[in-house]
Amino acid sequence: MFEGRDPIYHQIAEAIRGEVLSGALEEEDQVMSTTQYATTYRINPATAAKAFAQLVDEGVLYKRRGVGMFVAPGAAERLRAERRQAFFAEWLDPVIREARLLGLSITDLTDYLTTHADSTPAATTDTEEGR
Amino acid sequence: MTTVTAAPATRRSTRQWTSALSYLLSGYVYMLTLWFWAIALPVVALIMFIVGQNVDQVTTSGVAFTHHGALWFPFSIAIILSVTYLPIHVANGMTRSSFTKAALAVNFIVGLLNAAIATAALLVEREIYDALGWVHGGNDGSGIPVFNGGVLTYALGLAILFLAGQVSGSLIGISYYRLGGWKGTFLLPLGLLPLAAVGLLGLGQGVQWNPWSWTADIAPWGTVAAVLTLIAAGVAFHVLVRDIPIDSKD
Amino acid sequence: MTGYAVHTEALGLSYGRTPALTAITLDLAPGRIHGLLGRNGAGKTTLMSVLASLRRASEGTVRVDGQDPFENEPVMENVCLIRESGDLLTDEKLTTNLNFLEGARPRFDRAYAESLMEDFRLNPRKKPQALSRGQSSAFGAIVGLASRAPLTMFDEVHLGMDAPSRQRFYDELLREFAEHPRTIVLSSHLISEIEHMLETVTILHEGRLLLSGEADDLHSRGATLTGPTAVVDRHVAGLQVVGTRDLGPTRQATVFGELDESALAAATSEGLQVGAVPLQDLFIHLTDTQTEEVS
Repeated sequence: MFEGRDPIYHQIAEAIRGEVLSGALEEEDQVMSTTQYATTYRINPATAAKAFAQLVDEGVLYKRRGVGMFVAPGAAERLRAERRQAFFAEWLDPVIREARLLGLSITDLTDYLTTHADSTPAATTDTEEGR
Repeated sequence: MTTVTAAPATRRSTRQWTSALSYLLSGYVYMLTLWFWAIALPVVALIMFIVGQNVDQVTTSGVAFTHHGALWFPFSIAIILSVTYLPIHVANGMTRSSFTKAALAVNFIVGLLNAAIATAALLVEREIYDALGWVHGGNDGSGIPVFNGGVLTYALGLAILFLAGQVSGSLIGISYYRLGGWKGTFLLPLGLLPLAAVGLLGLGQGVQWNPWSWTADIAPWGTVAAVLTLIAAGVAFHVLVRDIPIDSKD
Repeated sequence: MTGYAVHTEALGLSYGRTPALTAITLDLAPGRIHGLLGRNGAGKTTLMSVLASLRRASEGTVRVDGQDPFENEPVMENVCLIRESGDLLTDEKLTTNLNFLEGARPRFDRAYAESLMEDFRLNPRKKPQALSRGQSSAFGAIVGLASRAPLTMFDEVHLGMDAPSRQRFYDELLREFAEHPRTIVLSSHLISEIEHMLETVTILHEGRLLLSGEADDLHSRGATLTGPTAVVDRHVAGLQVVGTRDLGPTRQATVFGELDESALAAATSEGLQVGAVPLQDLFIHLTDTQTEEVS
């Protein structure tokens, strides 16, 4: 964990978003406390707190005073909607670029997509790039 | 940026020296003092018993010989306090000045304690000597009674002498710690000065180095000069300790 | 927030004629975990000794919680420096040492110390001189944790412990820090294990302050670019390349300095892998170049 150049709190936030999207964390699930997070991943508690604060701002998590952090209702849906918007630009544009370099036509790509869509296992999370 | 310090942290302010003193007295000095006498007195009793079997009449106090031990044993403990306890004291967050106060208070209390025990032992011994028909004389062999100047005067003299021994020990220890082996050894005579001065001041007509007989003919000015010497030595100790660096080279 | 702030200005200290610290101007914010890094002899221990009032600075000012700490009773008893030498009563049992520490440290939590001693399997009836190096280090760590001092500094204490003990120490430090926030300084020349625990990083080199700043900022000051040699070379042109490694046609270049994020994004889009430079590598690089410049 924590290989990328992003600040660690970004990476933590991204990992939690991934867990919410994949359903590993469901709505109203309690997430680990900053202390648990800090000791589990051996990071500074302030770093974990910063990630949580960011997720609270985004509406992914919410805080119950004296109890802890919970996944906000509708968090997965909201994240999914955001991701959908970014999906084509982030994932397919590079594919198209690379395909052009390799002399593959758009038809080749669509053919591939239609034949392989059913045989590829569903990913548990599509946010692994942060790890 | 300052932060509020919780109440318990300041409650003890300026009390470090009493905390150190009680630790030093309980864990260190009381035990060593009591052990010293628990060993010294039976040994003296045994020796005097053997001597008494072989000599017509004993003319010298046996207990008076333990003064050597009661002087030099706490002297060496005082050196140890300066050399090994001081760095631990400061490294655990206590000030040098609290060490100075605690160490001098230990010297004072242990000096008094030893003088009191030694005097009490001499009093008991005198009763035994009287019962046996022996002469309770000082250990200079002159046959002059130990208490010819009065019991209290004797006890006071012993206390000042024992205190001087420990203050010398403290000074010698701190010189070694502060200046290292070479200079520390060079300064050894200076560190011994308080003890030598107090001894000489009270030596009176004694012909040999026998400081504990000085009390027999001590003049008031001698006591005053001895006390002033000890105060000066205490100040010197404070000056050597107050900004002493605790070893930390990396 | 509890914890002492540290501030030094033009701090200098010499051992005789040998300068150990020169012109150190430094701020450590309260309530955070700070890393104090430097090679052996860089002055880490000396700096912490000044903060802990073991030595008086020859020049400059030192403020701990806004006050001069030297011979300042309320400050000194709340500043705890754990050194490898231990600073214990070596011929007294560990329990007696705990008594002593309770007397010396106003916030010392004895029950916590005892529970940690169980965790680390330290026999309270043993004497410090009978402990192995690892056990001594562990006891030092326990003393530092249980002192709850608003400024607690660990001088390479973890280096003496074996790997499982170190992990336990890190976990305990983080838990304790989360529950009882205070200012913590960890000094080391081995960084990889502690790097993510640090919020700020201060690097000393040959008695001088090389840099001091947020750990996150330091991270973004370097990157590794990995990919085909020609592509990598094209992207690192004009950047400060501090090292390259080649594996067949693949090259990994480590760059350092203020990096242009859009240039890095362009590198990514051309198929290069952009990675973080471990703090340890940055540290080695920084202290290496400085040595070369000096010599």
